[in-house]
Amino acid sequence: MSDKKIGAVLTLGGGIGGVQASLDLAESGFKVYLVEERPCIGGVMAMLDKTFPTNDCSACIFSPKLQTLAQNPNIEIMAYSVLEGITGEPGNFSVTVREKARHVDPVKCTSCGTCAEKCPIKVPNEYNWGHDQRKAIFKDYAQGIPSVYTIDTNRCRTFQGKKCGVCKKVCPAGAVDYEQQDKVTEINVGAVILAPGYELFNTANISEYGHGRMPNVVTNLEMERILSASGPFQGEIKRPSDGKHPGKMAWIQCVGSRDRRKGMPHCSSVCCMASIKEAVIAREHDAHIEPTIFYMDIRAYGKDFDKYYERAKSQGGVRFIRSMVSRVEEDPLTRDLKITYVNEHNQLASETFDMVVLAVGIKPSESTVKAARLLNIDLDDMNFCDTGTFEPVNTSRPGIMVAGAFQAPKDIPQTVMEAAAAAGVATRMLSEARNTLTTKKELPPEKDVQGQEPRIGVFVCRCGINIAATVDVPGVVERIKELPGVVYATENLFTCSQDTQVSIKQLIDEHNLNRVVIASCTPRTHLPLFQETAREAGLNKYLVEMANIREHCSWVHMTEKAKATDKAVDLIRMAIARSTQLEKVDDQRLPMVQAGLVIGGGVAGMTAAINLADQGFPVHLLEKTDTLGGNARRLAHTIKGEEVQPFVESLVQRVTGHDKITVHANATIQNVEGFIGNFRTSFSSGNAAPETVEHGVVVVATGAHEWKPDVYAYGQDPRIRTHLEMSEAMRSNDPAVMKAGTTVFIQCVGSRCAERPWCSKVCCTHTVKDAVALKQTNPDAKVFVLYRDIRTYGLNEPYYEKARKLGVLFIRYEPEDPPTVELGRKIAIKVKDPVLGEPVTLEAESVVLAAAIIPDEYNKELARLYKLSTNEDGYFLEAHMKLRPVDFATDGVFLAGLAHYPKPLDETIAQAEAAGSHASQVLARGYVDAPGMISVVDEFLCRGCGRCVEVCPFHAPELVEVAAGAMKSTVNPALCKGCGACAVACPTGAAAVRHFKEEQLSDMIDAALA
Amino acid sequence: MELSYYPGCSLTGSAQELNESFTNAASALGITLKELPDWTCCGASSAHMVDAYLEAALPARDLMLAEGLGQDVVAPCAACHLRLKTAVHRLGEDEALKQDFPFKGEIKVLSGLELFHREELRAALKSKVVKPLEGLRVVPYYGCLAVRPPEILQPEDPENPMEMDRLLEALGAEVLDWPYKTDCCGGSLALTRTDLVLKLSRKLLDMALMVDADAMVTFCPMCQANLDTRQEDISKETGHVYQVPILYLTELMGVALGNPQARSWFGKHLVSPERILASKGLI
Repeated sequence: MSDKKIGAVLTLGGGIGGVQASLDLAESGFKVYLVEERPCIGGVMAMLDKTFPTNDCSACIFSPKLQTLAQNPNIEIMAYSVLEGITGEPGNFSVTVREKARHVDPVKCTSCGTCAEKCPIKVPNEYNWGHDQRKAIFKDYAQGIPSVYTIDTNRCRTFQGKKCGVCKKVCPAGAVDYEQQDKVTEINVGAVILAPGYELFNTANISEYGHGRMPNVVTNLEMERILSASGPFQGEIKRPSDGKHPGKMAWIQCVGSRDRRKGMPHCSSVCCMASIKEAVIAREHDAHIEPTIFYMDIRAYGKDFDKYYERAKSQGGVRFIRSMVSRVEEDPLTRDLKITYVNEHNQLASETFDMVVLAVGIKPSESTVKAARLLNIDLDDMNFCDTGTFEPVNTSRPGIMVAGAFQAPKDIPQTVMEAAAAAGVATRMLSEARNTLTTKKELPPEKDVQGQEPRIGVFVCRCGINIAATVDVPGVVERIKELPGVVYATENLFTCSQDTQVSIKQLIDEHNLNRVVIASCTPRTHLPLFQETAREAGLNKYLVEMANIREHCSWVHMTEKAKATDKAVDLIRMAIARSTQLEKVDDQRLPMVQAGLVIGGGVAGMTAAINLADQGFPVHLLEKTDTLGGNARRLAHTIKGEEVQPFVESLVQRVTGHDKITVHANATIQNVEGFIGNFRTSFSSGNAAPETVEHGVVVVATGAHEWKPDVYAYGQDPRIRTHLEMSEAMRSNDPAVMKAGTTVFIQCVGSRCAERPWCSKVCCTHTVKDAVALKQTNPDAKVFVLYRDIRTYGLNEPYYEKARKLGVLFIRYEPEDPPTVELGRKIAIKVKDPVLGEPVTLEAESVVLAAAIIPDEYNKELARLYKLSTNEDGYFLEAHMKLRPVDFATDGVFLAGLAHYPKPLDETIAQAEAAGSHASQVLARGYVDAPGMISVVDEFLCRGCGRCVEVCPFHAPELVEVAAGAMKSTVNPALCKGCGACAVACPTGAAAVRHFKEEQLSDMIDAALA
Repeated sequence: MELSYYPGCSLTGSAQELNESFTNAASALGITLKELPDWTCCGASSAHMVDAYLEAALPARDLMLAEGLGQDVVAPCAACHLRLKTAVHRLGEDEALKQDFPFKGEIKVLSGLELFHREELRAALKSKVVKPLEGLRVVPYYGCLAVRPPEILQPEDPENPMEMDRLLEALGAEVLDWPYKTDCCGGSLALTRTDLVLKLSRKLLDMALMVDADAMVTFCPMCQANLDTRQEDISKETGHVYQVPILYLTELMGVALGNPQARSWFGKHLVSPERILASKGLI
C-alpha cells in the first residue's frame, strides 16, 4: 500500500455497474475517471426495453442516473477510450488511457444531428444489431452521453480518401475536425474498479440454430431492441425477413450456456428471466403473439422471480416446453422456422414458428480479457474475474476491485450491489484522501428578489431543427416579448449548449432579470442545468421555469406547423404567468448524529458494522441471540471449498475487538423515534437496563431461518435432516451421513408452493455441494437428488456438472406428484421418474430436506418501528427492485443479507458492504439535505383534522397539541417528499407545497384559458 | 502436387464413377495420385460396430502404409475418410494401439472436398472451367459423414458447411439455399430399416424439388447410391414420379472442365442426369 494515497478512482465500464460505482465514489468525496470503450456510456442496460420482474422501462429508470452522472463535476467521462497500461501500487496507481479520436470536438458539438442527417453514407447500425442503419457520423442512441457525435473512420468517405467533407461543411458549431488525433493521458488514481460487463457468446459457433444466416432467428439482445420504442422498428414487433408481424414465437434457452463443448460450462444467470419477460412484453405489444419458451430448467431464483414465472404461465399466455432443442430449420420459401426437439417423453417432436429468439449465453468480452491481462489480474477458466467468497469484489491484485457480470453472470440489482460494495472498499482504502481532489463550485451570494417587480427573461430554443422545423421560433419570440413582466426575450440555436449558459448569465446581469423562463425540452433532463446556470448568476434556483415546446409540441405536431406555433406560445405564456408568482425556496440542511445502528449480528450485520466502524463511525450492533455469527455458524464450507468457520470467527474477532463497535447481545428493540440523521432507538439487552442510542443511520440485517418442515416425515426419524442439520453432521464427520450407502436429497421442501411462493435460491447449490462431498468421500455411495428445476445459476453450474460426472443421480418430480417417504429399516422414497414414466423406489439410510428459507416474523414489527415495507412474503422491500437494492424508501435505512431475500454468502457480503457504503455516505456528509419543495402547514388555517396525517405515505405530518385541545399539523421537513397529497386532502387550504402553491398553479391555468 | 490415394472398396465397386471423375479432376488440376499399394478395407459399416480393436487396426494399417510413402493421403469416400481420421485420433490417445501401429502422425488424411477446397486448387479450378454450369440449379448435399463427429473432423461449420457450395459456385452453377445439407439420408440403415431410409431420403428429395433444384450434388458414395436407388421405391410408395439426378461433385467438375469422358459416368446412375444437363446445353 502506498504511503501517498490518491483521492481518485478509475472505473472501467460505463454500464450500470460502472455508473453506480462512479456515483457512489463521487458522493463519497473522490474524483472519478469513468472509462468506456463505446462512444457513449450506458452499456447493456441502456439497450434493454424493460426490466424483470417489475416490467419497468429500462431507459426511464436508468436515464436519470446517467444525467446525474454527467452533471457531476467530479466525474470525468472518458468514453471511446481504452486502458493501455498501469504502474504503481494500491493507493497510488498511474493508468494510461487512450481516448480515441472521434474527429468531432466534444466541447463544440451540441449534438444537433445535422451532420448525421446530411452524411451520405449509410451503414448497418450495430447499436440495433444491424436491424436498421446509421450514418458514418453517428451517436449510439439519441440520449447518449457524452452528447457528441463520432466519425466511423472505416466507413467515412473522407477517411477513405474520397471527396466528401459534408459533415464539416454543415456543422453549425464547427465541431468536425478531421485532423483530430487520439489522446493518451496518464491518470493518477488510488484504486481501480472494473465493471466492464459482458458480451454474447459468438453465435457463429452455434450454427445449428442458424443465427446469422436465418433472418428470423434473433438473439435476446436483438429482441430487446426490437421491443424498444427507440429500436429499429419503433417497438412494433416485426420479423426481419419480411416485416410481417409474427404469430408464433419461440425462445430457446441455454444457447451456448451450460455447454462445455462450446467452452461455456457456466449458466448465464439472467436469460431465463429475460426470455420470460420478453415473451410477456411481446404479448403486451401484440396480443396475436403466441410465445413458447424451450428450456432445460427455469432458473427463476431471484426475488419475486418465481411469481413472475408462474404469472407468465397462468396469465401471460406463455407456453413452456422442457426440452433440448436440436436444431432450427428454415423453410427456404417462407423463412418460417421449424424447431426440432426431444420432448419430456423422450420423443422427437417438431413445431414451426414465425420467429425464434435465442437466449445466447454471456461471457466477458475479448477487450475485457485484454484489459485483465494488462492489469495482471487472475481470471478463471471461463475468463471471469477470479474472486473469493469472503471478498466478493476484490480481484487478485490489491487495489483493483470488480463488480457486475465480469465477476460472474448476474442481473442488474446484484451488479448494483457489487458496484456499491466495490466503491465502499475503495472508499475505505482511500478514506484519508477523501475530498482531496474533488472540487466544489464557488457560488455568488443569492440576490434578494423578494418584493421586486418580476423582470422575466425568456429563452426560446430552436433545438437545431427539432423545434424550429415545426414551430416558428422568431414568431413566437415576437408574440411573447410584450407580455407583462417580460423584459427580455430571445431565441437560441441550442439553449443547453455551454456557450448559451455563459450568455444567459450575462443577460441576467445586464437586464437585472429576476425570473428565467426556458422554452425548450423536458425539465426532467434539463431543469437542473438551467437551475445551475441561474444560481451561478446569483438567482435562487426555484426562480427558473420551463416550458416544454419540444416533446409536448414540435415532436408531436410536425404536420401542423401553425397550430404548433400557437401551442408553443400558449405553453410559454403559462410558464411566464407561473414565473411571476415564483418565490425563492431554500433547501434545508439538518444536523446529523454521525453514528450507525446495525440490527442483526450475522455475517451481513457484522460486515456492515465493520465497514462503518473502519471509517471512524461509532456503531451499535444489536443481536437478538447471545452469539454473533447467525446462520453462517452452521455452514461447513462454500461450494468453492473455502472453510466458513474461520471466516466467521475472524469477523466476530474484528467486531468484538473494534473500539468503535458496541455489541448488544440478547437485544430487543422497544421504541424508535426520529428520522434520517436523528434516530433514537431504545432497546433492552438481556438483563441490562434498557438504554437509548442516537444514530444517523440504520442497517437492517436481521437474516432469515430455515423452515422446520412438516412434510416428508421430518421430525419422526433422526435419519431425516434439513440442509443445516446435514451441514453440521458433515462438519462433525458423523458416520450416519458420511457412511450412508444411499443418500437422498429432496429439493424445494416448502419453497415454490402456495404458502411460500418463492425459490430459496441457495438450496440447489447447497445440495450439489454436499452431494459432491459425499461422493468424493465415498465413491461407492449412492446419492440421489429429487428436484423440480436445478438452479445452480452462474458459476455454480460446473459443480452440478461435476456432481453428475461423479455419479450423483438427479430425478425430477412434479409438484403435483411429490415424492413419498415411508419409514422402516431403511427409508423408502418413492418418486415418479419422468424419463422412465414409472415410479421408482429408493432405499435410503440418509435423507436430506432442502427446507425453505423463511423470513423472520420480527420483520413486521421492525418494519412498523422504522416505517419500512415488507413484500407479501415477509421479506423487506427495498427502495427499488433494480436500482436501489440496499436502500429503503425510508431515507437513512439500509438493507443487507437474508432479510432482503435468500442468498449465498458472497452475495450477502457484497450487499452488506454496499449497505455499509451507502450508510457511510450519509454519515460522512455530516448533515441531512432536504429539498425545499416540501409541504408547509399554515397554522392559522389548520383546524387539526388530521387528514394530512392519514394520506401522507411518508409519515411526515403529525398533529401537535399547541394549546389545550388545539391540535395543529406540523410537517417534519426531513420526511416530506413534496408529493402534495396533503395539499389535496386539506379541506381548508392550510397545507401547501412550496413552489407548487395554489396561486402559482392557478395563474398558470388562467393564462392557459385566457 | 503428389498425394497418396486411398480409393476404398466403394470406389472400386458401386462408385466407380466417383473414382473415375475424382482421378480425372485431380489430374486436370495437376495432382498426381499414387494409389496406396496393398491397401486394406477401412472397416467402415461393420468393423467399428463389432470390435474396437479392429476398428482402429484396419485403418491404422493403411495409415502406416501411407506414412511409409511420406505423402498426405486423400480418401474421397466419406466413410473411409472418417475411419482413417478416427484412427489417427485414437492413435493419439491409445498407447497400447500405438505399440502395434507406431504411426507418427507426420502425414495428413484429406477428404476429397478438403483437397479441392484448398484456395490454390479452387482458383485453378475456376480458371480451367470451359463450360460454366450456367443455369444449373443444384442443392449441395454433404451428408452426415462429411461433418460428423465434429470433434474428429473439425469442420469449419458442422451445421452449415460451405466447401461444396463454394466449389459449385466456382463451376458456375446456381447454388440453392436449402436446409438439409447435412441431414441423414439413412444410408447406413439401407438393409436393416428400409422403411426409415425411404422416409429420410424422401424428405431430402422433396425439399430439393420444393426449391426447384435440377440435381443434388454430393461427395459421399453411400449417399449417392442410397438417394439414387431409392427413388423408384419412393415413386411406387407415393404414386409420384421422383426423378432427381444425384451427381458427384467431381462429375460436374468433369462437365465444367470439358472432360469428354463425363457422359460415360452417367450410365452408372439409375436416375440419369443426361436429360437435364443436355437441356441446359452442358453436354
